[in-house]
Amino acid sequence: MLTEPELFDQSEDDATIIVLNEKPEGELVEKAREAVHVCPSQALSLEE
Amino acid sequence: MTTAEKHEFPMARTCPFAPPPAYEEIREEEPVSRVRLPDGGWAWVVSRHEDVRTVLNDRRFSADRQHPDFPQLVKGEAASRRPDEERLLIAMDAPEHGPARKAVLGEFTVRRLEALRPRIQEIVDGQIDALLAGPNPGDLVEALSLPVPSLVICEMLGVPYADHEFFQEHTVKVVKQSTPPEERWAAMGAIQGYMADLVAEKEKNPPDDLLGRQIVKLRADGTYRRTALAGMGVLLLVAGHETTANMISLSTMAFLRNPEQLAMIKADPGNTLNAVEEMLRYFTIIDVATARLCVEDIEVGGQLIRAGEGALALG
Repeated sequence: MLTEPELFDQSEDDATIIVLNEKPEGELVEKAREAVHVCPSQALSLEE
Repeated sequence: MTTAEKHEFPMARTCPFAPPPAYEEIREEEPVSRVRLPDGGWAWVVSRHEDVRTVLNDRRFSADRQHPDFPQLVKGEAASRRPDEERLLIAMDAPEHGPARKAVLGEFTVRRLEALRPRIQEIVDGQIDALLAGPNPGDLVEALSLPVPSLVICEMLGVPYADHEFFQEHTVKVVKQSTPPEERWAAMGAIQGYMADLVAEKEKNPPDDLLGRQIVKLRADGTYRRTALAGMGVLLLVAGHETTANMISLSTMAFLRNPEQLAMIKADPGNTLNAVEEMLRYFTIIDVATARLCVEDIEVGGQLIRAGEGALALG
């Protein structure tokens, strides 16, 4: 969410992260890769 | 195999900016080792990253601070145990912990914190202006580090402006190492009493702040209890105050000691976020992440820890 609002949103209710775009393309792939890298709970993964 | 306690806990720092040197010795020589506690008992101290993760994540370790066998880091801590219905979030295990954590997590979304950003900026600017206008040299800790988190928490909890000074005076007493123990307890008592009154006041017509929203939410769930919410308020204060204050002081010092890093931030403020993340990693602002009680035998880093024994996870 912090890294890319086009990819992620956050629930108002319990603050869980909502993936908005499961198949990012173009420059969003790099953003998704960064999000996987920095995610503090290591909850994200990316298959290429 | 049983080993004797080579070390006493808590251990003193020799450099105020680095963890006690004995931690390194423990990690190298006996990464899971016995330490003597101030109340005469003992516990396992766990020093390696992977082992610390096990202690914090495995359900064979309990966070139940009310339990008589729970390791006490401060002498006399056991006497301050709370009744069961006032159990704090940090003393809960699954399945109780999840829903309680969820109830307050919505208050810490990126969106909510972004909305708070202008007010935080105002608070920081105000404190820096006062520091610059005050005596020279000034005291960064007194003028900036301690008041900023206290004022931000006031803002989040919805502490009325007129009470900021009371709130800040007492929170600073609680976190300052030089405060004598009796004064510290008195200040803590004053904050707890204040928080209970504040929550009671907000019950009448719950405002749109953290405590007000929690009252509405918990009432709807049928789980609202005034003392529990006041406890949560104090917990948020305690958890967020000293940690943030120390990070402000240490980060400032790190930049002053490494002017080339400071120059990078000044040249491109976009680097700030990375710098903050890195400093959170670099400075160990808490010696001991937390304590746990083993409730079922488990092997950690090659050492058998038995049910009923305490473990301390190093930060």
